[in-house]
Amino acid sequence: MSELEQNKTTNDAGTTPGIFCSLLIDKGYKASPLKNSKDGTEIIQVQPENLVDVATLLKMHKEAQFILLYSITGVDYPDKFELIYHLQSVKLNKKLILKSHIDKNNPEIDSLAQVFATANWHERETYDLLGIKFNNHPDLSRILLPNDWKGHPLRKDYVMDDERLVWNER
Amino acid sequence: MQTQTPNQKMTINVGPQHPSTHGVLRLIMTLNGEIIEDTQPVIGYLHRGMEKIAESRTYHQYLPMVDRIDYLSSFFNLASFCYAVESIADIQVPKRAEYIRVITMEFNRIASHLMWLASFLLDLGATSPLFYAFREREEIVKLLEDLTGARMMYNFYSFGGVKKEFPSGWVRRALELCKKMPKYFDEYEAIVTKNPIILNRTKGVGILTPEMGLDYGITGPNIRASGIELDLRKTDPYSVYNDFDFKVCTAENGDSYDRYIVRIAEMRESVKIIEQAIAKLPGGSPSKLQVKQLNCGCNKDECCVCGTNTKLIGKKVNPIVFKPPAGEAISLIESPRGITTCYIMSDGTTKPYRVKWRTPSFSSVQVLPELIKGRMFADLMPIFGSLDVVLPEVDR
Repeated sequence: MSELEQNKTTNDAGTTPGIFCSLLIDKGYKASPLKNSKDGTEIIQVQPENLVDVATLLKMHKEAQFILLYSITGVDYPDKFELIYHLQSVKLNKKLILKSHIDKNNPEIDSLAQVFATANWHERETYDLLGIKFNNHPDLSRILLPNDWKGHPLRKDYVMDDERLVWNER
Repeated sequence: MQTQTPNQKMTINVGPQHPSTHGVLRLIMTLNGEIIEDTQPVIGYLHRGMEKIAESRTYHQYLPMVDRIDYLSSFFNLASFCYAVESIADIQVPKRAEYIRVITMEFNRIASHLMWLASFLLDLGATSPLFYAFREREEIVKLLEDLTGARMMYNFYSFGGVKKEFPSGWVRRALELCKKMPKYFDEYEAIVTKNPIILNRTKGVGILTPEMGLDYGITGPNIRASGIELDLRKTDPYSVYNDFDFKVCTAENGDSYDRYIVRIAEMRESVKIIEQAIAKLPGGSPSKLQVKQLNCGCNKDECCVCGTNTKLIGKKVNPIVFKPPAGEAISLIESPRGITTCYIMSDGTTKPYRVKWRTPSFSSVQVLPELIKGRMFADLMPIFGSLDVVLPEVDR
């Protein structure tokens, strides 16, 4: 923890970024700390273009080792899409949440499938239900809904009167 | 085999109605003779849109739906949802209710593992363990039925506690069952653990290395069989798991046989947890089962959440609609299949803005093609069965 602890002491004066946020800032990434969750998990907002680098850094960092990605959540806000990545370090027994905001009209973000194998299906699910495009994804296709489904149900503007909701022989 | 040309590759379709898939999973397999070369799982046949449904229902209306995500371990889904909502609304669950939750959850874990054991061995062609496993599962289900009124979809927890007190005599019967249970487990082990057929079919089959497991987000008994001590009850204790003395069961090789060993050991640990929980069960009246008034911790006078009487929520006479403050929370629960998380985003209205379920079986299906690549087709079921996949949980 030596390197991480050192970072914490140097950055405590400002907006109190946590140890992992200061680690990212030190490496030159644009990361801003958000309010910690209620159980004390650090939440960091990262720029979409830095996401793959940040995830790689956190995974490969020899002390942090965030090697487990629980889930990828997409949230549809009126003005933006938010992607939330839940990471866990088995070694440190710490959780970390990364958030990234992307443009509503052109929802695209780089895929983490090359960093975490589990991201492959989670991103497909997010694409399927929210219509967020993941660049460089090996196989970005629908996973839960049929291939000929129209629209992305978890978007707030999705209309539920689709004729497909009526059972038909497929 | 070596003389075959690529033209002789065969694509076959396993499922969606295959009897061993415990639900509807379709696998598109490319075989070279009997060797599996490539597998593409097709999921989504049981997709019910749990996350979308949540957005059109109030929190209490959504509560019974949660059971259906994984029907073999409904208490864990309920707990996951309740802990997330309680975290948003800052509800402190009474101690007795927490203990009741732990007792019911651990019973549910045993029942779920027994169901897995029965179906896993059935997949391997052994019919008789099914009857042994269902004998005890029936006793557990009976206990839970007496407590909750349902055999599978319990709908027993509510925000801030549990719905009912133990009926009279329940605790005594639970203790009696706990006494009997280890002997039952000895019986299975006598049948299965050293059985040469089981050993031949499962030892060294479907080896999941720790690196691959973590990369694919595998959790629960599957990753513990690979030697990683990742058990949220120990590493990140929720509820009152801190009060109990139990050990995290791990194995070393990560093959199908080790996953069996870990689950059997886990059932024994669960029995120990139940016994300790019953011994330590705080006394109390029905008023200690649920919080009486909500308090979101805002310290404002005009807050619509603080001071809400929970007894009136959702009742027919003078109903109050539960309205947690705006915020977000995630709850992580160690369910029988791994880590179940429920992520809730509330915008301060009566309905959740977004609910996201992360279910462990989803990752287990994803890793399946890697595990069976290059194996014989006959190894499909020993591997897939040992992962303990429940399909409704995959599709949600």
